[in-house]
Amino acid sequence: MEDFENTFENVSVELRRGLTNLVVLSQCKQPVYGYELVKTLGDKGFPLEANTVYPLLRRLEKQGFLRSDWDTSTEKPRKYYQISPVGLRFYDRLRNHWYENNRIVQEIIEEN
Amino acid sequence: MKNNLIERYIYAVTRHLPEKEAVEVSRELDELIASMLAEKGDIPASEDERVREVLMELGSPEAMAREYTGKANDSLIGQPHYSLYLRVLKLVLMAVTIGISVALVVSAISEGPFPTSDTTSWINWTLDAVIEWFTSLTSGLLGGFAWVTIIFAILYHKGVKLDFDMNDLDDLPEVPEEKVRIGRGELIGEAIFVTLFAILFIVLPYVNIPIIGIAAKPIPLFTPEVLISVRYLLIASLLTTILEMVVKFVDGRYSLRVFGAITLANLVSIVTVLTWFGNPQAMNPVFAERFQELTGLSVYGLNGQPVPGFGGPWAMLPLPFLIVIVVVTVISIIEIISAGIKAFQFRDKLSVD
Repeated sequence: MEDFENTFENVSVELRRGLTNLVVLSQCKQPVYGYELVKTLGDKGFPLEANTVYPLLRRLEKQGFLRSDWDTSTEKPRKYYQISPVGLRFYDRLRNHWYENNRIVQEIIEEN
Repeated sequence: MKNNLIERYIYAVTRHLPEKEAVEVSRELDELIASMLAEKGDIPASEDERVREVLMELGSPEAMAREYTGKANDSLIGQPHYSLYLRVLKLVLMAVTIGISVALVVSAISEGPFPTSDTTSWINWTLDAVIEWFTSLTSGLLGGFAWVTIIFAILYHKGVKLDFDMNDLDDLPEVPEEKVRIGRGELIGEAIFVTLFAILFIVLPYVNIPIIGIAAKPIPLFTPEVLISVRYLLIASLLTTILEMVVKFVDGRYSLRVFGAITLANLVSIVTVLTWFGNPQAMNPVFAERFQELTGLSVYGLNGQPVPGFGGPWAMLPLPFLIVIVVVTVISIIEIISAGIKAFQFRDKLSVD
């Protein structure tokens, strides 16, 4: 039975992995800082570890999908991320792709 | 104390990152840890305990560093190279095992306590042989494993393509006809032969082919000094044969590349056999003398007379050696021609289609 649990764990992690980009980009329409993202996603029921979110934000920035700015006006300086125009295009396409696939998969699995 | 622990954690994450990135990531992590600590502000615990809790939540710094470098899924040998790597590895390890075992049986026989000896020396001889077999096999297998692994790791990391791109379905390789396919069995046979050849003639020239039962001690058939003098040719033969096997393995059929490799390997073999067997001293004189004592016949020429049809020193070579020279030369030439015909036939068939 341990195999059953492990396999389930692995498959569900794989399923979520692809969606992480989509979910993170969706939250960056307004400037947001890393830890805030970790909290809001956790509250909304899509928990992600800080050690996943921070490197992911940097990767998305390197790919040109996010822009960042340090806010040093407060006592605690924070790095805010916001989606770029290219990122927005990428996000729209990814979202439509997800809707489409979601619809098809739902149809297939509900056939039987 | 608190700062020290946080600094050490951040350093552990960033120390392998490029300098510019390390500075930026340090600032981010500093911000993250401060936010997480602020969150735990109302929990009744010491500052140090809170820091420890936060860092434990963040997990191993190595794992975090891998996420940052994007090398989380990197491996020594990944697909598609891994599948071929496993197949080549099995083949090499099998050939090494059989080759070393046969070579050591031959070498053990040459050192055996023949013809009669007491039980103790038989037991010692057996023990020695088993120990030598075990140590040679271990180092041979480790060596084979290391070389194959290193070569494939380099191919994988250099991104050398082993399969073709799926840009065009017409680029799919043609299914070779039965007669131009190269069987696995043929390759395994060649690999065993190559391993034996290398061990007996290059590594153990003083043992080479021990003839037993005609004297108190086994007599090597070939003169060791001659073997040593043609060592470079033997090594060249070995390398060109290995090259031929690799190309055959990769292509799996008689292609133009296989034809080229077969031609090279066979030409080197012909030169090697002519130089080695064509040397009047190639046969161990001790063996030749003992043979004459036992049978009353001379091994040189036709019982001491020149072989008809051959001129000069060739006519007085040991007859079996002369036969080997002729047979190897003829077979090599036939092999080159037949590989050429198969390669070109297959190519013609392709262009007609």
